Amino acid sequence: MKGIIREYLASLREREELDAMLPELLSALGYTVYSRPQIGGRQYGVDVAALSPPDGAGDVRVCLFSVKKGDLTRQEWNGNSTQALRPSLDEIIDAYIPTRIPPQYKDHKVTICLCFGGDIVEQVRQEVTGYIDRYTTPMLSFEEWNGDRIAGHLVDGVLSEELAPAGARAHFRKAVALLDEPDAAYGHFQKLVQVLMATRQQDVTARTLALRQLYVCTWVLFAWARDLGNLEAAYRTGELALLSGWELAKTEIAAGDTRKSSEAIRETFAGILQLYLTISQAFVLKFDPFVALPDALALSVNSQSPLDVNLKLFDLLGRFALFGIWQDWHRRQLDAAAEDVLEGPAAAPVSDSGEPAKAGDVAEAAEVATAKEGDEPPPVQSVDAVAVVTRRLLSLVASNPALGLPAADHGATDLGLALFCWLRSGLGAEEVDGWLEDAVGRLDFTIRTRGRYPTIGRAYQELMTEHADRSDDVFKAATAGSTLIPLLAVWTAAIGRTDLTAVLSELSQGELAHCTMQLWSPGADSEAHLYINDDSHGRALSGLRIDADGSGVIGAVERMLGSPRSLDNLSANTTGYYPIILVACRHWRLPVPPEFYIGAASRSVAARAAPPPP
Amino acid sequence: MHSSAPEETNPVAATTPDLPATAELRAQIKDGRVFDLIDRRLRHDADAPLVQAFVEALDDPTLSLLAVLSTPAFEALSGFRFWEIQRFLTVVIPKLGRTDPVDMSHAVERLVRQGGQDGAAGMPFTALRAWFQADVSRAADLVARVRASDAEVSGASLAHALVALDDTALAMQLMSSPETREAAVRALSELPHQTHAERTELVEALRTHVADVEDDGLKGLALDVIVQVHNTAEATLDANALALAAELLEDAGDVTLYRAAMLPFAHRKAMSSELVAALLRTLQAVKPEHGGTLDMLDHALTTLSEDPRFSDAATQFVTTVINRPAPRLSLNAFDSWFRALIVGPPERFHAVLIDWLLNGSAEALAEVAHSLPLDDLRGISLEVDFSRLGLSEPERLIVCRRGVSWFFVHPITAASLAVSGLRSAGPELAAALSELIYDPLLVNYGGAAYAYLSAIAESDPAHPHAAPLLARADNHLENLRLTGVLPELHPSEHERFLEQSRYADEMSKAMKAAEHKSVFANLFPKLLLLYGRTAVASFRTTDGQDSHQEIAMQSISASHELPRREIVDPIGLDWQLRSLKTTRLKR
Repeated sequence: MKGIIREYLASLREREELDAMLPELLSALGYTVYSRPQIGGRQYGVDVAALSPPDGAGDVRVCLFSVKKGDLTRQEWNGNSTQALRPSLDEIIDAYIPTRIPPQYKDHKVTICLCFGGDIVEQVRQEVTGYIDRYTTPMLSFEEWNGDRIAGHLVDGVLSEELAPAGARAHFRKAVALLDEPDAAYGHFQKLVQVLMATRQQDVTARTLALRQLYVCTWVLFAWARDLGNLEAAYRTGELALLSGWELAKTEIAAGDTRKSSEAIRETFAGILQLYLTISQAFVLKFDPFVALPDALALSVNSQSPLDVNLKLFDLLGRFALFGIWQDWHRRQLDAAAEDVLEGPAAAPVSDSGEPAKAGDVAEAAEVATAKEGDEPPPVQSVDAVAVVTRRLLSLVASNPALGLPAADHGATDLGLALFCWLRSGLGAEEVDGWLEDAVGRLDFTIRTRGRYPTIGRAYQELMTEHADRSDDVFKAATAGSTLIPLLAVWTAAIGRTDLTAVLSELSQGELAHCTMQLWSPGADSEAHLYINDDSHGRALSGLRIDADGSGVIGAVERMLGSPRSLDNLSANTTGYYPIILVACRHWRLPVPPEFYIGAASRSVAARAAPPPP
Repeated sequence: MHSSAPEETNPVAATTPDLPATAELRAQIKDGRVFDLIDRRLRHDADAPLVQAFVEALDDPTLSLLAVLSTPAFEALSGFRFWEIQRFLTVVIPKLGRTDPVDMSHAVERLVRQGGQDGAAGMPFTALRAWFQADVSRAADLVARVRASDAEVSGASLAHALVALDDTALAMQLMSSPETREAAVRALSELPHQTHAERTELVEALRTHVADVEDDGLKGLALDVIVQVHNTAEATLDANALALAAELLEDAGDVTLYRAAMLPFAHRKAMSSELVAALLRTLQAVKPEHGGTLDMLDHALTTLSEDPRFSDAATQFVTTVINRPAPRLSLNAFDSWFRALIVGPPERFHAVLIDWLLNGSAEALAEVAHSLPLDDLRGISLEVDFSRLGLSEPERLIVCRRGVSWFFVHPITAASLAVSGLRSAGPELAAALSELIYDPLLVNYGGAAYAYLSAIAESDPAHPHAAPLLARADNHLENLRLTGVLPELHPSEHERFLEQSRYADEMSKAMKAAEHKSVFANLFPKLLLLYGRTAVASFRTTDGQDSHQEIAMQSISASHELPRREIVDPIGLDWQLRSLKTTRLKR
């Protein structure tokens, strides 16, 4: 176990990665962290500052951590690098200790902790020892926190036998060992999460500890996966950690009180969110260079089965879309509350009114940009990350035509996420017009030719069986329900392509007359199950009639959603973390709730129907 | 998988069974055991003494051939054993002496009836005719008894008696009676009509006695007679004969259609443009369910296509019947004709193919694509000279688009057709064809299509177009390789296992289905060898010696290049190919 952790620490690629984990470790060890890593650099050489737990005599020390990645080499000790350790230590002694230690801790002894993921290389050892000897006084001491020591603290502290049951540790070890087989790794990680989730009903301290354990395990798994060159298990476990973490921390996040224990769990959740975003970014950046190469990613699925290709591409599409949605969330957070953002990305996004932004607000604020004849495409700011991601996402679609139609109806989730991402980007309708036309055309074509039409199977084997049999009986059974068609109907109507909506309408009344057209929306029971998927929940908005111009289906959905909407009361929504709902939808393969887009679609249709001004 | 080894020879009795004494043989004839004896002796090619013994044994007033053929032992004969016995009796019958002609006729009819619908079942009638010819008083006796209504035999038996008598006038007389008309017409088809006057007399007699009769079988027979008597180098059907033939072909029934389908290859010397036109006009009424007639028609069309006077008519006939809406005939019914077309002069084959691509129905083109030779599954090369076909550039583009889509699974065939179009194309057509070759061909086939284009010689007019296409394909391939390995996208081991199982099941079913269609499946027993690379089979030779034969196993395999988009975007590929297939000229 310790070996796994030590390797993980040594493999951390950025100083910030060790920075991010250190406060959680210190908190778990009983330290009181009063200064966390800052965006934009360290404070006079200090990355993390904390008060030690009382020693045998009851004394408390101020511990100042200066962090380096990997081994401490000559270059890292005193080279030209701006991040060299010795100049940082000088800064601490010369500037931080005299001026930055909070007044209430001025009389405490100070320990400067040289923290790095690896070890001190032998050639530098002498110089480091000489430096420590020179500056050590009764009030100032030094400690070496190398990879081995940190790993020891993690194994004996955060992940100790007492705190993490043996079964959980075994599942964790297996998850790391099976990273090459992501399904198996995820399966073991899921079992680990189940063990940690047993603290759900316990007090905040127990839940904070479970959250920290989850955080460390996710980090270790990610670091190993990154070294292995296969981020699949890391991505999926990152999502699972985020959703489970939300379940553990949501009460305190929603309460927003200033109790120390509440702050601790909020900070740990912020770490998990940041970790999820880091993994998500690493994943997207890995695939980004290839999105514009025709068929390249589709062929990289390395399978002879078109079903495999389709499933993987839609999965990838959903991940890109979620990344874009988080970018949008983060941008609005920065725009609206710059000061709050300094506290880290987990801070709640704030609306213009100063309240956390909610899904409903977001949908209200979004407008479907439709292109009219002669209109110029709306300008896109190059700095607008969501627009950039959306363009990459649409490039992925253009280069991989299989993304024209999902093989499984649950692919509508990824399609819905992508369209919501596009909605948030402010890009014009012409950007998705061709895609939606292709999707409707392919749907019509495959249904009429009994080709590879989307089927309702969820498990791989079900889908495989459905796609292998073209008989009428299987067709009827495999198309007995659809969330894809109502989704397409709403969006085609929203961008003004009612010719496509009419095709869907005709299909729904003809070849697919037996199909139950439906969408899904969270219900009153969803808060308890949405994030951890331990039971079915929510409401199926069923029996939707797809009319030729889409206004009917949009109206029907709005009426069925009613007011107030259940989604408004979901904790992730009330606290402003609405993308977590979308993460849950992607991870557990639930349709994107129409609350996210129906308002924008409705206004778009209404605006088009309104008589032109005189 | 090991291939089947030859069947181990099943040792039979080491020595030829002895011939029993005449009394014993007669006893065996009476109770039917004789068939077993015949069967065992025939295996040793020892039938000559048996024939003689059999003939002698039947020379007994208490025995008759008809009685022998009425035993349960004879009725139980089937398959190979029956045909061997029938062949033996066909040799015996002409040698038999004292037998009543009516009984002999009935015995032969019985022997023929047991043969069922097989084409060889009628062979015993030749023996009957030989029996009549050996002593024509037998034939005269039979005819006299039939005319006097003292006996009833089949038309075929009576016809053979008439032929043995070699009496055309008598046959003409018998045509006037409905009871003997069929036999008379049958006989007249074989009796000599050497002069024009005799042939004219025959035609007139047929017009008088057959033309107005509502008997499809008789009409078909008459048609056959008219054409057969003109099947000589000197004679051709005159206007009268043609008019009667046309009359008989009107509202032709199944039998007449069958006869009409048979005529072009059975009586090829009698064919003239007018007769061929009349026959093919009538044969358009053949229905898909008329399997036997279609087989005959296929032979007839193959024969006609070998004669420059009729080859266009044959092509036109096929073009019409495979492209009409209903009742459409399948190109598969004319496989011999289509094979002859493919191996015949290339310009003729290409002209037909291009015409079908331009004007043919989807059903017909699907069958064409299925029937084209494969040449290691990549398809044959079509080097079409478009400049000789008189097509406009838009028409050429349509032909190539449809050709590429219909022959898409045969990449060499598809690519060679489009490259043929390039050779004489103007800039606009060349650009469109280049795009067609790139997508869907080169983006889907990195092997066969790419290799075909690479092999185009510098002197070839298509070469300047091929080079940039190959560069574009190289660039595409390079882009595909840029990703390296992305394990995140790989299906899980579990999913791979499920997919492999499904694929194995599918292949197993396909293999079983293919085995059912194999012509060898019913000819040879299948032996599965579990180990080894050679098969050793032991057998006993006819002289009773044990021997063995060792055969080295050979592996047989075939590979097929799967189009890339069949994996990455099957819907898009299907859509694209369907769009190309339905390309229309702007009017």
